[in-house]
Amino acid sequence: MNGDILIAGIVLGSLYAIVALGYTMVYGIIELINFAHGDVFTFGAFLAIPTISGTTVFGWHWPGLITQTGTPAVAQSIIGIGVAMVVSAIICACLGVVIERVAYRPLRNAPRLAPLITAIGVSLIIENLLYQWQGGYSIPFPTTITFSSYSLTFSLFGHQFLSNTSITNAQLLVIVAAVAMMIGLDLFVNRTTMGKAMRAVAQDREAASMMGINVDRIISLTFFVGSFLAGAGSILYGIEQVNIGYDTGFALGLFAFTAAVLGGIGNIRGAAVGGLLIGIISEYVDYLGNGLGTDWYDTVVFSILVLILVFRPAGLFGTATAEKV
Amino acid sequence: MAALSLARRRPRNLLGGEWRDNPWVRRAVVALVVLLAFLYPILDHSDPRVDTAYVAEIYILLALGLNIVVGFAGLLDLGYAAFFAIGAYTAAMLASTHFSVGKSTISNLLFTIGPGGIHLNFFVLIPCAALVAAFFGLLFGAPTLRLRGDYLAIVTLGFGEIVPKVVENLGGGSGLFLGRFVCHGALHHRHCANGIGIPDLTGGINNITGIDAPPNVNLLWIHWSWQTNNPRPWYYLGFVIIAISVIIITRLRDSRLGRCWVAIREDEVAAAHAGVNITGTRLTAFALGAAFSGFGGLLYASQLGTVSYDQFFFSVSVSILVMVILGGIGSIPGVMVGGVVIAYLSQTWLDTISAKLNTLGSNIHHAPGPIGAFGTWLATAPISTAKPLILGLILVGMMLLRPQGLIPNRRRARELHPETASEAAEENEELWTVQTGEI
Amino acid sequence: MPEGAPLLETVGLTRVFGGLKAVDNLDFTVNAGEIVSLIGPNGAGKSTVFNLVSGIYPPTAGRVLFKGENISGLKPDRVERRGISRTFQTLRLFANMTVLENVLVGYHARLHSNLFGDIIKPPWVARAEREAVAEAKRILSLLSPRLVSHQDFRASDLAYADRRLLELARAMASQPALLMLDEPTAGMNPSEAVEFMEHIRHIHAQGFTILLIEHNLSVVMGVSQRITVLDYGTKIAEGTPDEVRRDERVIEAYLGRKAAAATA
Repeated sequence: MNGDILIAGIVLGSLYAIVALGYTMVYGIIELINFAHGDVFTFGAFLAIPTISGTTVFGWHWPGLITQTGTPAVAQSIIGIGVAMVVSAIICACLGVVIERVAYRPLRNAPRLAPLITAIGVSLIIENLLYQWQGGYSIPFPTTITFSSYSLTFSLFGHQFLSNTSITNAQLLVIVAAVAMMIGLDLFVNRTTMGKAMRAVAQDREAASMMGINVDRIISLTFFVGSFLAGAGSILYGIEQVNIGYDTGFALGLFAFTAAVLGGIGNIRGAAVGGLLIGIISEYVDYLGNGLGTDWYDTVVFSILVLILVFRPAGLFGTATAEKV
Repeated sequence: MAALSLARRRPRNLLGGEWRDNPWVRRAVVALVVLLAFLYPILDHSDPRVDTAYVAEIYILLALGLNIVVGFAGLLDLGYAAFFAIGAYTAAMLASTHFSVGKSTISNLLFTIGPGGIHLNFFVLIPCAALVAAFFGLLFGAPTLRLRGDYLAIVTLGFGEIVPKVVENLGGGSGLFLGRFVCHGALHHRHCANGIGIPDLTGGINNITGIDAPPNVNLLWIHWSWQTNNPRPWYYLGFVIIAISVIIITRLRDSRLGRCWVAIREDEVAAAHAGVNITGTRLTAFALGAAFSGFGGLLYASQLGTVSYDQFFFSVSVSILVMVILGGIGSIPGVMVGGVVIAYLSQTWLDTISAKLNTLGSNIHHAPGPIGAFGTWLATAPISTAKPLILGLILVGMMLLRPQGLIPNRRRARELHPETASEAAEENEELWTVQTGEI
Repeated sequence: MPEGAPLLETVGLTRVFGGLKAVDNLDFTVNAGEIVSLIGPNGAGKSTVFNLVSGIYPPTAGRVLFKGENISGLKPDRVERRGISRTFQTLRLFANMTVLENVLVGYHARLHSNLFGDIIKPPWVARAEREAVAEAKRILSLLSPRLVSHQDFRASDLAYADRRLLELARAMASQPALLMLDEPTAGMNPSEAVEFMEHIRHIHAQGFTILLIEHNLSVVMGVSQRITVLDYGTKIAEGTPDEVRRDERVIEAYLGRKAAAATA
């Protein structure tokens, strides 16, 4: 087993998982695939460009957090990444709430096709705006970190696992941050009152509102949290994957959605597991295809999606809900 | 007395008093539109404009096809461009110089097969393209049978992504499928230095060129030869195909099958219990929808003379969806209008508006302050690349403001406005209680 | 179907959901021409029995026999084509279709047209459609003049009792050998319920075999020839209305032990 691929898979998988959380929470609560979620993610990454490298807006100059030439010091990296994550997270969260308010809420009682179509429309709008902003090609994420790699070797019962495997500090950062975010979300959903309210609304909207829960606000909160994570995660993506384009979010979103379905839609822990699995599978397919990955891991992942939805729509951890007649 | 007159008030029913319902008005409008459409290429001497009209015809066929799936059967297909591609590639493979077969040529009324390629008679090709597309409609529809709404949309999106990929890789050039192992050329395998050889089915990134045109027409005063640069014969071919398609689709809508589609949309469980074969009905919708896309693909490939896998990405599927939503979901005249609007938007209007706004921008950019700054931006604003933005705005706008579309199908309009339902129900409750004397 | 055999028969019919035995080894029959009622307290498994017969889910064990043939596990549309129609406790109409169209969908299985017929519309297809419309109107008139006058109304615009009637009409359209009605008077006031029961009696007189789930016991007692009582998924009593009314186990199931003791 090639350890590098495994590490790459776990890293990519963590990123998928973060995005998958947004999809799974929104679907769990209003049964809508938020097509625009992947594009909100991309927006977060694009936001990091002015945040980190500086920008001039209407004559006001923001110097940025990290000079783009040379290798940043560790302290600089930490501040730069931290601030970028917070800024992107908050702005993306707000964007998510605005989208829900403007495009989805008015259609809450419309037939199911309607908000889905609107979601596609919103996705197109955001993508094109991103295209206008930064052009049609992938751009490199601003420098935030001096890459260094560590070598990993496991030794267990005399066997050497994963020899010749290395992990970069960026990869480590992504994994640690992703795990932290997922634990944080898990605690939030399972231990706080608001989290309980979210679970209640996801299970039975009417009953929840009769218990005094403000359903509208909880739904907005769901979008806020999902997009918040996406915004933070987008910085991690940018650091590790480096290249980002206006259409990155679209494909990434579909993979993340597949991960959410694989884990069991509506199930947060399932999304995390699903993300990891899809990440690892993608990297392996990429590797097997000799680096011609993008084309074929698209097809492989979609095939997984189709197979799950046809044979086990509840995914790994979801519960199959049958319509009561 | 007031109570009695209330009871005798004309009951609310589906046939309102609108002018649309007068059959003579309807017939007059249809006749007028058909006449104008027929005369258009004769009246307009500009070749590029007639060519745009031809593109509009292709879009109309695509919109009509998607309307069957989305509008009639209520299945949101986001990968519809795949069938367009299949229609186009069927034409490309069965009526071009692409597949060189054997050493001698067999030629008859139906086809000519030989080293010069497979050339189906064009009139055989038309139903062929439809049938092949319909077959794939069944193929892609089958896995979606137990899926609902959002999931079905995503899966169809997936298929829509996979088809161009597969087409790209089942052929020549640097076909990524087997990389350097792909051999070019004939239908039968040729031994390759590197081992596995697969036939060059789709041309891959090299595209397929040399696609046939219909046979020359020499009939009475009509002498047509089919060149890419003279759009008029193509326009009339499209016209005929559209006319036939509209008749077929209208019949379908008003038939027992059409009723089944509505019933499934309304309540699938009840429909099943009324004897409707849900599986068959849904698959039929997919197959029929795909067939019309097959026609569109054929017209497209044949006129252009070449096909290329990169003409059929998700953006095309979305465009077709916008045509349906803009025009009126489930409405035959509606989606035709939608097709025309999007065709002209993509081909001409966007560029015209872009040029005009750019000129405006450069004219006002000398102005002081924010107007000048706006002008500077406007002068170089990339409006022509903003097509996805405009499509997105149309989708969102239509769904929020007028979900039934420009020319609504009345049944759908009622489904999309449940408020009017409760109003009517209240009115009728009033009627009922008055009649029985209860307050 | 052999002489004297029941029209519908369940043999050891069982359905388990997770850990819950909704229907437990149920044997009951319906003979042609009867009106049989299936009653029992809430949660007794009555609707589950209907769902098992109509094909919404297959039995976990046991069989459903219709006209002597095993129909267990067949999908609803196949079951319908064998001759069983039903209505639903929650009222499932095609809300945005007209009254007439709703009935026409019910007629669906009797129309035999294929794709080409639908497109080309040869004379025999057109004629079949006309006959279907005439038949649908006849069924509506059999039930209520109001339905006939409202035939172009959207189904959701009708008053509640009329919507229930419409669902009945739709179920009747296919001329089923067995008509299963799942709490058709749910949500109706007493006078509406009585009126509805008259309709049921009327169509029974026309020759329909009816299996009825009902909570409104006065109505059930008035219209049924035989009653089967379920509780916790098993049959606890069966017989004529009088027999069932006096059965101790039935009273206990509905009202509890004290009440049963009180009437003894």
